[in-house]
Amino acid sequence: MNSSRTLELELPARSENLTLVRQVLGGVAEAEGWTAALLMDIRLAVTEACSNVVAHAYPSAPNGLIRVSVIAYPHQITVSVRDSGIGIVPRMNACPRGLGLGLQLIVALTTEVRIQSVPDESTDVTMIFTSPQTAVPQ
Amino acid sequence: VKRRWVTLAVQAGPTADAVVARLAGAVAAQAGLPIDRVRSVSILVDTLVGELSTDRISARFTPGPGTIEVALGPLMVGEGQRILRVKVLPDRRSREDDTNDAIWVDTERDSMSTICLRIGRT
Repeated sequence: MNSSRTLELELPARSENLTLVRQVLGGVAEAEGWTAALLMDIRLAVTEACSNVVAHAYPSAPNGLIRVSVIAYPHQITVSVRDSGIGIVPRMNACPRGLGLGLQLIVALTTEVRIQSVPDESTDVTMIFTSPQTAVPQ
Repeated sequence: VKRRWVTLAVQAGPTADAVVARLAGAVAAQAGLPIDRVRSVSILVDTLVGELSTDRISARFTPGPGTIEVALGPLMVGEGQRILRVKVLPDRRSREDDTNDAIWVDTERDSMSTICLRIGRT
């Protein structure tokens, strides 16, 4: 996290704060010259990851936090969404509060996604995006 | 007690210029400040960010009922007093001033000096 273009945001895990995350991403996009399409993908994926924290990470801890870090390289953007909640709990049945499409959406919007979860300790969702102008031609 | 504040750490420069004031405005709007006061928050925070000489800015945004407090740092020695002389900033120079708007230097928070701005609804 020593990149000169690193940003770290920490905020209470409440749904009304998702707009703050989106505002920050808009500011980074302005500074870094991201395309509107790239910003839209990043905002959607990061909002989805943060929504998961709000909905699932802290079922009995009202003061839970979301930590979002952004590292902007010239050709690549890495965004991590972390929490200190219950971890990702394997579901035996379908979740009653959602369709379970969030992770699929994140996978579809990112170049790469890594998920690390420790039960009753933390979850870290790291999303890597590649700027379309700099993508390697196939 | 629910934690309310939001913290941001960002490298000084274009990203900080684009993000810190924008986030302050968004938190101010969330706190229920009217649009002209939200604009004031953004302008004043933008001014403060421009005055800081640190390489990496730490910011804390605390919304209250109809008010927002923003703390920016870390400050170099003497920097706080220099910033307090910037003309566009509020006149009140103490946290204890019973006013909507105030600015002061806090030397005790998070073991670093910060410049703190409070903007209220009116």
